[in-house]
Amino acid sequence: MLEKYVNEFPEWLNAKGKFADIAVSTRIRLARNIKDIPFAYWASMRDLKRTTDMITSCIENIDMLKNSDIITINELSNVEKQFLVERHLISPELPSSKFGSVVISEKEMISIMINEEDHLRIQVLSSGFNLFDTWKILSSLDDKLSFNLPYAYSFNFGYLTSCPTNVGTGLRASVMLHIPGLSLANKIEKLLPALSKLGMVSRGFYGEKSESFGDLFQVSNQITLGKREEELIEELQKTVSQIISYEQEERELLKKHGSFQLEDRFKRAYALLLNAKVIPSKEAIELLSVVRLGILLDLLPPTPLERLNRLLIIIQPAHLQMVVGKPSGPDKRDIVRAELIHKEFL
Amino acid sequence: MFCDICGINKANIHFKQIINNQTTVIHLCEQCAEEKGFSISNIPSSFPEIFEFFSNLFKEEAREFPQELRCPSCGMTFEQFQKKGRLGCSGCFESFKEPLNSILQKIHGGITHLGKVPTYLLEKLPKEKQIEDLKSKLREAVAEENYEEAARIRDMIKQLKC
Repeated sequence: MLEKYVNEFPEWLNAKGKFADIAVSTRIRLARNIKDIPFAYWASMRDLKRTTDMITSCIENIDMLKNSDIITINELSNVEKQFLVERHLISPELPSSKFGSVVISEKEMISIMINEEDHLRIQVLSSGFNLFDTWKILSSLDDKLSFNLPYAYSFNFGYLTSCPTNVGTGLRASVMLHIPGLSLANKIEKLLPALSKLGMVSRGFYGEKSESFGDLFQVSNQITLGKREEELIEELQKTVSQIISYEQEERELLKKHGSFQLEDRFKRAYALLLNAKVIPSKEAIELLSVVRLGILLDLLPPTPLERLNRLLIIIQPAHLQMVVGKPSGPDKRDIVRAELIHKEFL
Repeated sequence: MFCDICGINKANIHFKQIINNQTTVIHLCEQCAEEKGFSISNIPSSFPEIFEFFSNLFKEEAREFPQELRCPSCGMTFEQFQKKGRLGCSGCFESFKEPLNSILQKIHGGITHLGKVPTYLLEKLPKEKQIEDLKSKLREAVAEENYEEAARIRDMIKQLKC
């Protein structure tokens, strides 16, 4: 069912956005529910089918969603479900929904999860550090949807959501950052607690609860109520801009005072990626992070950033399994992963 | 296991009190423990201090979280919400208003939405928004025992509803 996605890549990986050397992507999502229908976790199967019908019929009339795919999660294999999670198109929780679906727009810019924790989780993904444009697209889509969908809303609390942490704007904006310079300078431990004081939160690249691998951090707003959407976005914009400038400073220092040991580290990582026959997922991510920095500091042969971004996605287990086309264990996947990386670099 | 206070975060601090063979256990998340002045760095050292801490905690808990609350729209009880950390329907916001206000205040630092309004409600906005704002002012006036002001606001709401 998802064959076309295996050979195509989402637009948000194209590294054409602002500060794409540090900010891999920007994502904003809105949590919405339909009035007078219990929230998905508490709803009956009948209610869940009703919300799906209401949402899908609404989508047909929206230009931005023309030619979208509407996929029923229960009709997918476990590998296909995991593939969509790895692709950042659905959350790891959607497959547990009794009747979940996802709407995916062309080039994977927009995805709408139906009946996850909330009836709708509308997200827009874009390349680089691009919060304001991403918000414009998302807000306009939200307006179009709410023209026909009666959202659960109170003038006091705003958009009503199943979890109190999303009430109000229902907005979670995040920027995926690759900050190996700060990591090398041992500044991440100081940065992360400072973020929580600013009302921000940091997560790993590979899913909401995952730990961070490869110096990739997803920084997002924590609160959703009591501030306007634009204010929340502006605050995140300021915080992320600051982190980007710190990372730029560290990279400048590395360029000026880089040691033999550092260059050796880049070249070893590069050699391993190019020659290894078996690479487990975590090792590949860590090596790719080092190599990415080496390339950006001009200490390794130039490689397009887009290709490095794509690698972050396609080396994951379900992606590899879809490439192989048949069930394969971790050992086989580690071999295919190594082959795929060679192909991308040669 | 979720925190007995906020019902949202995972509880990773556990207290046990045994008095006259009666055991009481409290499970807290770090944030709530900290807010109650019971962080790891601030553990009461003497028995009277510990006793005071426990009794205050229960007093607050009983006031903030009446366990028998049930949402008439979807049937979810407040206890079920606390266990799962998820509400059942939009009606729960009215049914559990009091304890929810305190939870939302803790999470977000504010309880009033200032953001977007759904397109389908925009036409209704001026009047409904005015009424909502006045209702909130009315609550404030009553809480401050300013009954003269409260009566004035009540009359304004009546007029708007006509």
